[in-house]
Amino acid sequence: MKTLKLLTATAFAAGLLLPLSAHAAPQNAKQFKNAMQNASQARLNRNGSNILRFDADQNATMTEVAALNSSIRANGLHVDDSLISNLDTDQDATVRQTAMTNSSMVLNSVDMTRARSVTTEIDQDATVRKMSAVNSSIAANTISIR
Amino acid sequence: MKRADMPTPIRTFWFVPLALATLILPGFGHAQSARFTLIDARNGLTPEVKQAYAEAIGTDASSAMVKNRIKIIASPRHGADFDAIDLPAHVRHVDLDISLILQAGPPSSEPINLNHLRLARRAPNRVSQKTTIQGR
Repeated sequence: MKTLKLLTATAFAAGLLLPLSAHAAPQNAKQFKNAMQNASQARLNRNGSNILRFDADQNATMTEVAALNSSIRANGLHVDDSLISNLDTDQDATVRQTAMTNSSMVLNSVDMTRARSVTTEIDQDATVRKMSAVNSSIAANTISIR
Repeated sequence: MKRADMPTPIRTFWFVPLALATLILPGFGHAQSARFTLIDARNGLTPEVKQAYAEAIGTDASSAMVKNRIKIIASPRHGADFDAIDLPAHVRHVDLDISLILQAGPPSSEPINLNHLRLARRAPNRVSQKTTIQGR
């Protein structure tokens, strides 16, 4: 009788421990996944930087400008060799009452070389009005991740 | 001093100086934000002008936050082609407001390059750029 009680208690305890061991398996898998991600990030950022959050807020306004055979560039941002977990950009460009001839214009550009962004939020707004342009190019609110 | 021991006007109108401080102190903060650096580039981009532009942006900043307001006067004849600026590695927050005022004259044939930052391997957490180009 005593042996039967002992066996019953052992079986009951084993039944309690079974879900716990089942829960431990995903935990180990999660730790392994995190370790792999960390190793990957470390390899990527051997020479670069690790940035948790990067907010870029760019606002360009051009009014009453007469350009002839010239280039105009405003709000340029070069971020190289970085891992960014959360990239949040807000770009706003306004061009009005401007006359350009054979001109190129670049407003609000974010250029990332050898960079990675896990989460990216991009908010772009461009307005052009009352403008006379001949053979001109306008690039407003550009983001390049290579 | 207990509240009951205070003179009646102070006990009754204690909120008046508090309200005045609440209204006036933010005004001081706003007044400070009106300070800016004026750069005269009407005679072209001399080395002195380029150095003044770089220092105004914050190449020699000692704090982690750079907040600068810059106004540049340029002529269409010379343009305003400034080089990209490398900020110190310890800068974590950049807030730049650059205004370019082009003098009246012939149409510009020189390039304009403003508010251009190069952040290699050490990007700040937050960058705020505002550029206004206005002709006459």
